[in-house]
Amino acid sequence: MHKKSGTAIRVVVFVALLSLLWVSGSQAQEYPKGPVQIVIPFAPGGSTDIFWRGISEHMAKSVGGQIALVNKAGGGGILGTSFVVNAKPDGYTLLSANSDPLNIAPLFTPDAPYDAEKDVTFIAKLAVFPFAITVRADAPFKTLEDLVAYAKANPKKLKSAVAGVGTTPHMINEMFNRDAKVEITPVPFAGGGECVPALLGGHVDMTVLSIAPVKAQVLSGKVRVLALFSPTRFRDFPQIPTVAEKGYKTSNIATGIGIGGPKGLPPAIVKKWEDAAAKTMKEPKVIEIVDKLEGLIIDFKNGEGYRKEVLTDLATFKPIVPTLTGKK
Amino acid sequence: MEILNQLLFGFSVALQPMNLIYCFFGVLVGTLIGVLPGVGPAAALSLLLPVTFHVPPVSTIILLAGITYGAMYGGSTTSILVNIPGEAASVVTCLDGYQMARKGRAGPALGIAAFGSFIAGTITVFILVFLAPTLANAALKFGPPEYFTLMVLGLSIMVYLARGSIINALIMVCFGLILGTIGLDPMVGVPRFVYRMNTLMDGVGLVQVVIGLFGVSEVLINVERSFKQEEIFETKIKGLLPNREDWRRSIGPIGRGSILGFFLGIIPGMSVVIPTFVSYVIEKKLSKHPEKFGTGMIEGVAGPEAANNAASTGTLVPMLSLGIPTGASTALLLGALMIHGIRPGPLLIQDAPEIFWGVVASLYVGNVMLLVLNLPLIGLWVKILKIPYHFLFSLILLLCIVGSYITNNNPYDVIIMVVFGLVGYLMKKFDYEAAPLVLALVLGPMMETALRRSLVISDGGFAIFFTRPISASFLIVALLVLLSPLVLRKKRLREELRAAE
Repeated sequence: MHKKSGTAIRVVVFVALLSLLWVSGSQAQEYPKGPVQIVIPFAPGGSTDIFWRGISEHMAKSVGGQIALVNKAGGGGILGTSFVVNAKPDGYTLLSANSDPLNIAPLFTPDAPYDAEKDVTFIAKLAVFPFAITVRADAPFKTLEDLVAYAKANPKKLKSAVAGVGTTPHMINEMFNRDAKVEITPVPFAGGGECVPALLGGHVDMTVLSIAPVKAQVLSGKVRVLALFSPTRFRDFPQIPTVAEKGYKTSNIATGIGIGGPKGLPPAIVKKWEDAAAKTMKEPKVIEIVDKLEGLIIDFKNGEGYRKEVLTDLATFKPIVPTLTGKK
Repeated sequence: MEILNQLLFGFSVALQPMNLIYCFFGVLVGTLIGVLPGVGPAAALSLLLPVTFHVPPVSTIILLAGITYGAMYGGSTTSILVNIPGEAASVVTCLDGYQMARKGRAGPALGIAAFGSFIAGTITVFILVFLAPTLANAALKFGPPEYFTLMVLGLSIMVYLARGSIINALIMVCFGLILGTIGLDPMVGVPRFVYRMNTLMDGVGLVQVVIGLFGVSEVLINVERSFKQEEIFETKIKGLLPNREDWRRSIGPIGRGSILGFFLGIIPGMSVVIPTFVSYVIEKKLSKHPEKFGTGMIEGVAGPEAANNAASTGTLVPMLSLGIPTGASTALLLGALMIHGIRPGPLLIQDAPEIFWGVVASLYVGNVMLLVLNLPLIGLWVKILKIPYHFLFSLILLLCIVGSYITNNNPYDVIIMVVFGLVGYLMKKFDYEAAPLVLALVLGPMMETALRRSLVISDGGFAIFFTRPISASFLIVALLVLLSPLVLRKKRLREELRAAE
């Protein structure tokens, strides 16, 4: 009896040692050795969150590791972004690098805890939310020209629901005002989900909103999309013109979603994720998922390309913000 | 008849064995996350979203919807047992539920919360079936002016929430409203009272404030009591289920809470929190013994618990019939359906009847399951109170810390919670109540944005609040509520005041 339990103990020791060996074996593997935490700087349930939940499985496969998605919401994305910016650049803490917290939110914060130009490593751009000008189906405006003509004749009369202060649609509204020489008053609501009922209920005249929340309303004939802020027409609505076609400069501004990390991220790790992202965004299954989420368009760019885009937009938004906050 | 046939069709979908399993799993997860403070249903839905890609669409929404209303059931548990609101929607449940637990009546309190939720679920499923599309369109009539005047009405009932001094309650209301202004200005984006702390950019978190004010402060008070060798919980347990007397008193509040919760829940942007407060105040107003509210009145548990469950069904109306998500949970439901290629909206009933009717039927099935699941648990929960308090309080504090951290994974949130724990302790010592503060903190920011949006829309004219019929009627009701004590119950108010002073 005594001898038998001795054997059992030795078996346990053997298995324990063997598993240690196995662990050290896997340690010898290259990056990533453990799960990589990707911080989503927004709350669960937002479009960025749903996008990541949709593709993370495929992204993890491409990079050959595990991904743990962590929501750190607050301050228009500033909290989550600054958490990653201050993390160790070991490739185990990465960021869902949305353009808003990088090039808009810091402009509203007197002490933004990071500088998109210096403190962030851009890895890749994955997708983009294009925005559109939408009115109710019973509105007198059939085209963008109608709307602009009315806005010119009635300054400040048109009210436009935008998804929150300091968001891309808020910026677009202001830039369109500047380019078209009109005065459309933005009314900030808490997210796109509140803009749609405000438009349908007739409380505002129009909304600058991403396609996703309005698509169901377009299909049921309750609203009409006048123009799209996107370089190309939207595949699902080929009849809707882009703002660029109508001759306005404010044509190519949209919210980007990408991957980023703290500065000083080893180039090998950046390369690995860049390649993985490029591969993932080409997978038919991923294309299908993003397609179904509606209003999101896959827009892969490498790290340098995304960085340039974010910084260019930052320079564009910079002079607009003081006019909004009243600190001229 | 048409509708009944379709409902039967819905049941045939919901009762398929696989869907029953998904429904059970959903309500189980929902109950668990509801019990854990700080974790709202949205976080759990988001975690489970990738799993649902491998599940048929009907089962997906049955699973996810199960989590949403399961959380409403579970939320009351910690409120009643240890005075920690599982989420903001169960703050009101603390007021009388916890007092019932201290008197050894945790069982009936938990029981009536479960039955109340079940009855509310049943009533609202039927309203949903018959009225969903009409109601969704009616809810669109609510623009910023209507929200603002509804909030004014909400504030006007605040005084009735107070148990003790009305002056103290008003001080707390102002304190709550001031707290509500912390953070980024919602209209122009200027930081207010942020003092260069990025955590405060979005304001002080409601969850952290309520966990601090209710949970932590109660622990501090109880530790003090146990030093003085006072008894905290009556250890003799008086019944595990509501008795006949409890039922008689609760049935009215449950019915009113259900209807109220459902209709307020439909309005986009109205949280599930406000209906619970409104229900509590109504029950207190209607009661023959309003002065006893806050000392363990079962009506104060039954009404609000029915209301929060009904409201969470109500939030499904705009999502299913208009395709408009009104909160994070419904946005995730919407996202899950869209990944399956189904677009909720006006065309859902025609395009995918099995989804619409399947979900409606599963709401009912889920409610039955929740009742079956929760009733046996009551015996277990009540036993927790038998743990000596010097062991129990460390566990409660741990729950408070985890709960306040986990909402945003932000360590500074724990500090906010601790600060409000100390504030809550002082408030209790000096007889200031937390409930008016919490309601003001919920209403304040909504009221401010609604007012400012209205004024932008009207180009600065205040007439917008009086010329719109819904808005004007809210103002009239608010005025009546404010004046009624002067005219109708002057005597009773005076007695109440005298009793309080």
